[in-house]
Amino acid sequence: MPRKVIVIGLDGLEPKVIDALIARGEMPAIRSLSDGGPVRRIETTFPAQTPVAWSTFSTGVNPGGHGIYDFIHRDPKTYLPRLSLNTYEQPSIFLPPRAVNLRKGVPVWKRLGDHGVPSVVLRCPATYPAEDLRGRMLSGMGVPDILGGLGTGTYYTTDRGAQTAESEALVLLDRGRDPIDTELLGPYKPGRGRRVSIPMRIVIGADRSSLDIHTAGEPRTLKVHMGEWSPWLKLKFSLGPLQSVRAMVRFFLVAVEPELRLYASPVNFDPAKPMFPISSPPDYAKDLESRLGAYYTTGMVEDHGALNNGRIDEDAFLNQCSLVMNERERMLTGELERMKEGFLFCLFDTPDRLQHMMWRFGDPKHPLFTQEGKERYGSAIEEHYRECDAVVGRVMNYVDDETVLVVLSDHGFAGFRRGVELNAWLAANGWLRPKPGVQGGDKRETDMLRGVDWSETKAYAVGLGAIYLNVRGRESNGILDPAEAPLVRRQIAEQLSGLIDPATGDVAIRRVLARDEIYSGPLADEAPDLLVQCNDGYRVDWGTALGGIGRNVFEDNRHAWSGDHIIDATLVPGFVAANVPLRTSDIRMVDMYPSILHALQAPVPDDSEGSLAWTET
Amino acid sequence: MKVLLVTLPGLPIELPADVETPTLSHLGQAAQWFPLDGPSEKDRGLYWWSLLTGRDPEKLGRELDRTLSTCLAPVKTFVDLATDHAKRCLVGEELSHWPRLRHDVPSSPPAGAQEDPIARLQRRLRWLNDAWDGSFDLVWFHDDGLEELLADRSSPTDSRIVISNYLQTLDRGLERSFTRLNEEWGVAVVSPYGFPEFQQGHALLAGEGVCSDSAARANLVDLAPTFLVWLGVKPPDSLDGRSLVTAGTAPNDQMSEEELLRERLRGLGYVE
Repeated sequence: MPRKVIVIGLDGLEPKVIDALIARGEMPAIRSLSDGGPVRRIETTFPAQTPVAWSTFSTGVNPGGHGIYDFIHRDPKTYLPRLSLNTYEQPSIFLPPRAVNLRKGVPVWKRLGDHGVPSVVLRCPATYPAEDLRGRMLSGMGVPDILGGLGTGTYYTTDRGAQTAESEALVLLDRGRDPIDTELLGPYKPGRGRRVSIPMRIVIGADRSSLDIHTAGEPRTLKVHMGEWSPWLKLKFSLGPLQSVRAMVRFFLVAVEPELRLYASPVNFDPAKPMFPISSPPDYAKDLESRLGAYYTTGMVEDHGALNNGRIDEDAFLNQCSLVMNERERMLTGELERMKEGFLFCLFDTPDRLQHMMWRFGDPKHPLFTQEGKERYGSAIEEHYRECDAVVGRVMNYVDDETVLVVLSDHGFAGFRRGVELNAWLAANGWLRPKPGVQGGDKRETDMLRGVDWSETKAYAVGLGAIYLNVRGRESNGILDPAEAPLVRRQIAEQLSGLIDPATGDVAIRRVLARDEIYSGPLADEAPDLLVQCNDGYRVDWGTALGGIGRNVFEDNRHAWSGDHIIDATLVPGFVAANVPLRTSDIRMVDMYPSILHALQAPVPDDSEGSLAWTET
Repeated sequence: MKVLLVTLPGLPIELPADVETPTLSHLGQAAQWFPLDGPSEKDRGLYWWSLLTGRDPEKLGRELDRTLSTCLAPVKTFVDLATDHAKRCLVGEELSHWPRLRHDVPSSPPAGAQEDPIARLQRRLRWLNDAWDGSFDLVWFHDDGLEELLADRSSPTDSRIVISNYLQTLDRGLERSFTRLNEEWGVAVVSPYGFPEFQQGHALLAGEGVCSDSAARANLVDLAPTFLVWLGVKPPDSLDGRSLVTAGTAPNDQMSEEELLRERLRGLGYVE
C-alpha cells in the first residue's frame, strides 16, 4: 500500500500541445507516465477556470458544493461585482478585519488529517487565509498584494507623455535630475483613499545601465541592473500610530536613456510577517523564507499586467516566469526531501499565465499575430512545456514503490481572438435596458453595472460567462417573477446558443447552460442563472467581466492577454498522467478526491461525487 | 453616541515589532491620531485635572491651590457633567478613588494585596467585561501598569519581555471589549503623557465626526468636551478645551467602495 501520494499541478497545460511534443519525441517525463502518449484527458469544471477547477479538486464536489463559480460574482443586493475567492469580515470599525476563505466544502487534507494522515499543500488556489491542517500549507491564488487587490505595480518614468494604464500606479519623474527623489507607494491609508509611501532616492549608475535605489528598507541600497529582476527590497510602511506593515517589492529596470523607465512589482506581503495568514502553521511562510530566501507571496505572481501595459517586454516576462518556476520548484524540493508519508500537493501556476500572454505568437489567426513575433517568441510556450516536464522528471527521482505520483492540469488552453460583449447582446435583444442616455462602450458610464436601468432589465452579465436574471426578492431591484425564471432562462439560452460572429461566420457561442443542468449541492442557489459556453477562439469580452455594456456585440481582442480557456469546458479538458494505471473510462476532476483518500487508506465519504481514478497501487 | 475611553499612561506611538497586538494596531490605523499637549508644569495631578475637567490649570493661576490637583474641589469633571445629563457611567477602580468622581458611578473594587502589573491588568480587564452591560453610555477603563513597568529599570531584558506580555494581555482584553462596539460608539485611547518625564502624550479617536485633519494637534483639555459632544451633552462655555469631533459628520476624502473594488478587481488579468 502506498505511503505517499504526490500530486503536481501544472496549471493550464493543454493536452494537444503535450501530445504534439510527445509525438516529436519530447516531454520524456510526462510521456513515461502516459505509456508513450497520447496523454489522458481529465474533464474540467464548468466553467474551466483555475480557482473553480482546483476547488473541485480539493473538495471533491462541483461548484454547487464549494461555492466558487468564477473569479467574480455579484452581490444581488448592490449589483456590485465581488472577488469570489475570499473576503474580509469586520465586526466593527474598531476591530481588525479578518480574512475569510469563501471556498466551502471539506478539503481533502482535512479528511486525511482527521484520519491521521499529514498533508503539505503548496499554493493551491482558494486556500487564503491558510487553514489549520495536519501538516503545512502555503496559500496560493487569492492572496492579495498590499493594496488588497490581485496585483498593482508601479511604473516610474521621466517620459512626461506616459498615461496611467490598467492596474498600475504611474509616477512621473523630473528629467535631467540625478539623484531623483521620489517615493515608494505602499498600502492605502485605511478609509482615506491615499497610499502610504516612503521616500526613495534613485541614483543612476555611471555605466548608464544600472541604478541604486536608496530607501530606509533592507537593503538600504538596492542595485538594479538593466534587463534583470532585482532582488527583493523589504520595507516597513507606517499606517499610523501603533501600526506598521511589512512588505516587499522588486524592480525591473527597462531603460535609463533617453527616458528612465523603471517598473516596481506589486508590493507583496513579507513572508516573515504577512498582514493576514498565508501559511499554516503561521511560521511556515517564515521558515520557507529562511530556507529559500524571500519569495513571491501574492496569489498571482507573474506581472502579466506590466506586459499587457507594455511596461515590460516579453523577455522580462519570460525571465520572471523562469524565476517563479525555479522558486516554486525549490519550495517543492524542500518538501520532497523531508516527506515520509501522506499527501503532497504543489501547483505551478506559471504555465497558465505564460500561455495567456504568449499565445498570440503561435496563433496565426490572432489579431496580434505577426511573423516577426512568431520568429522571436513562437516557441516560448513549447519551451515552457519542456521546462514543466523537466520539473516532473526531477520529482520522479523522489518516487519510490510506495509512492503514487499524479501530474495534471486543471484545464487546457485556446486562442482568444474575439470577445463577446454579453451585455451588448442582452441589450440588443431586449433583456437589458441601458439607462437613458447611456452609450454602450463608455466604460465610465457602464462599468460595474452602473449603466443598467434595473426597472426594465430582466437579465445582466457580469463575470467571465455568467448571466444573472434580475429576480424579484433576490436582486434588490428585481423585476422578474421567480416563477418566470425557468422560462426566461430557457428563452435566453435558446436565443444565445449558436450565436454567429458576422465577421467570421463562425459560431461564437456553442451553447448556454442553465444552472440546474450543471450544479447541485448546498450552494447551488448562489450559482449564476446561466453559463455561456464560448467556442474556440472566443471569450466573454473584457468589459463584460465587470458588468460593462459594450458598443458592439463582437470585438477583436487586441490585448497581449491572447490565450484563454474560459470557453466550452468540453473543449478544454486538462491532462492527467500517473505512475499507476488510470481507469479506462473518462476521468473527471471530482475523481481525484476519493482517489487520493482511498490511496492513503482514509475513508471515502458515501456521497462522494467522484469515483476512483485508479485502484491498483 | 456612547463613549469608550481607555487611558494608558506611557503607551508608546510605536509598539515593539515582535509584539502581536492586532487590536491596538488596527485602532492605530482606523483612528485619527492627535499629539496631545499638556500643562507646562510637569505634575501628574495637573495632567489628569486637565483631562477630567477640560479646563486649563494655568488659567486658574494662583487660584489653583496645589490641593486642587488631587481633590478637584468645586470643578466638575466630564463624568459629573455626563451624569448630570442622565448618562450612565462605568469607571475603573483607579479612577473611583479620585476625589469628586461621583459616588453613584459604579466602579471596580481596588485590589487589597500587592499585585504585579500584569495580574492587575488581567483582573481589571475581567472586571470590565463582567461589569459592562448594555446600559452604560460612558465606559472608562484605566490602567497604569505600563507606566510602572517602563519605570522599572532593574533588568532591561526582563522588562522588555514583561512589557511585551503586558501589551499582548492588554490587546486580547481590548479585543474582547471591542466586540461590544458598533457605530453608535466613539472610542478614545489616550496616553495623557508619555514616558519618561511627561513627554508628549497622544490620543487615538475613532468614531463619528472625528476631525480628519492629519495635521491636527490637540491639548488634554480638548478631550472632556470631545467626550461630551459624543455623548450629546453640550460642553459648558467655561471649558477651555474645544471638541475634536463634530456631531454628525464623516470624513469626506474616503475612497468610494466602488473605486476600491474596481482597483482590486483589475489585477485579475481577465478584466480591463
